[in-house]
Amino acid sequence: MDPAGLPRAELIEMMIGRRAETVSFGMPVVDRAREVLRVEGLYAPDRVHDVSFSLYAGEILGLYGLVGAGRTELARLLVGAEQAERGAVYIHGSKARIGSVADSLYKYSMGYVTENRKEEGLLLESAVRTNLGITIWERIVGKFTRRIDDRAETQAAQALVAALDIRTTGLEQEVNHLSGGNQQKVSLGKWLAAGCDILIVDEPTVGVDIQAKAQIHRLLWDLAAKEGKAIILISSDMPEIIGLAGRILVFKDKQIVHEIAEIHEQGLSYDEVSRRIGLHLN
Amino acid sequence: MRHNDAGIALSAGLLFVGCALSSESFLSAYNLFNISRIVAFSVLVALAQALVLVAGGMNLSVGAIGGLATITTGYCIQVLGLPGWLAALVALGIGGAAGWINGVIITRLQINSFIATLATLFVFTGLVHGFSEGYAYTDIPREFTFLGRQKFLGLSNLFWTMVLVLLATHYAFRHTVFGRRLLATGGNQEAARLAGINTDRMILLSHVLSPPLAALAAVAGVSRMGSPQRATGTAWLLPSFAVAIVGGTGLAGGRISALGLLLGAVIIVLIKNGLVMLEANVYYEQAFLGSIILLAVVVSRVRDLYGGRSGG
Repeated sequence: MDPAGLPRAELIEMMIGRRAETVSFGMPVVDRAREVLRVEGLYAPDRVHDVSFSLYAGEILGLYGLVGAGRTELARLLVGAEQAERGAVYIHGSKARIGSVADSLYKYSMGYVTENRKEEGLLLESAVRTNLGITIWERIVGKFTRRIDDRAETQAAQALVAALDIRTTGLEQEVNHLSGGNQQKVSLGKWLAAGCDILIVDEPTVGVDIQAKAQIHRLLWDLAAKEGKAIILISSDMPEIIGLAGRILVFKDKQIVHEIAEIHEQGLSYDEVSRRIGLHLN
Repeated sequence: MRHNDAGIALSAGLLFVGCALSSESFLSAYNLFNISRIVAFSVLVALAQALVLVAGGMNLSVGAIGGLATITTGYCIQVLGLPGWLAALVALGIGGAAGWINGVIITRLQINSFIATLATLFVFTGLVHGFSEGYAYTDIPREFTFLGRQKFLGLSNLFWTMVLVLLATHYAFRHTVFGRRLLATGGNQEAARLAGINTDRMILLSHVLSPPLAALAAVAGVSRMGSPQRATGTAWLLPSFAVAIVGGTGLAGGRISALGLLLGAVIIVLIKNGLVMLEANVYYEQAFLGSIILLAVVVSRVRDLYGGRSGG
């Protein structure tokens, strides 16, 4: 509970002198009939303890919690970067065996945008082209020559640079030299190049300028609402997660402790959602 | 040609002109043939190192693997009576097997490549000594001279073999999924893994593919000397790093240049050649090579710190 019983938004306003910026794009288009991902009793010691939930086509599912609550750990288990001890993951209704990130990408069309783009998300000393194309090489390679089709790679990279408004001097520029926001777009872009159905984005706007942040929000919304992608949004940015996610799972001590559903449908206010999240975190 | 390669090419060109001007015998047919042979030899050994460096590792046992390949060649020809080409293939295979052992230790047991290959350096060297028991195979047929003594267009056959190997290397790293994934693995292993690259497999493959090149150099050595020298490989470690690093293969991984390796080898070979001509004390050679490595690393570090950012 907030001190003095003040509504959270008012408290923030008193502290920082302005209302927290909220994000709003209207009504989501979730297809409840298409369960894209189902997690049942996923357990890995010190990471997640018996986590179960479903994710639907067109949905942005928010995971909120403190650092270490199990959200990033869950993401890494889902994409095969680490292995769970027990529990099951179903993708499009069938049980998935995800032994590596390669499995999650090539077999299950799933991508993970890491929270540490410099350490885990980018080849900093490689070109924008390489960083965007890395997930499609296998698809655009000649059968016998094993030669990557440079033109296909260029086209894919150029299309993403245009679509994501990545500010770069060209495809050959090292991502090292890009701003944080543009690096983040590249880190995310490689999964769009691969055409992933399921995207897990971890703190997608940390260290990103305001304009790029708004662009990334719009992009995530459109991917879900217009293209029917299923998105898991891990974020500690309250306005971001409340504005984008139609449903929020609250994580605490490696478990899901609360679910807030139909946020947009019921027209739940920012204050109401943040109050309920706060109730379960303390 | 990349910017880095241009600088190396300039140095190599200057050294070549310098050597040609200061010695009348430098441009003689025999000396050029001989230099082509030594350059090819250095490139193969350095490439064996570079293929591992590029994936973010290192291989201290390249020389020991060369030693293994050397006695394997001798044993196959003299004791088993195999034809030379088959003996050479077996030697390459033994090299690959030794590299596979390195790769498995590194990827499965998660031991860093420095420690793993330091240990196998001694294991392999011990095997060479134990197996040959100090006895050199001397009964190598005269026909086994294709790589080491014969030439084509005035340059050693080994040189042309090396050219083919470098062209294949260039193609692999520039154009193929395998090469690009190896570069990505060396550039940032965790990012590569999280982008769907099986990085353990790439590292294992780099360790399996590189030693056959060292083995090829060893076979060429047998072919040149007419007998397998048990000491083959004991002095390869330093030059393998020197040529690779001068040639633009970073110690940190993620970078390699086939042309750079060739030019790096030319530079190192000509510097050694030059030291002989200047009548410098040959016993100091290792000190020179070590200093060159240090210089190359410092230059690349300075370039990273100051030069590289200007493009931003």
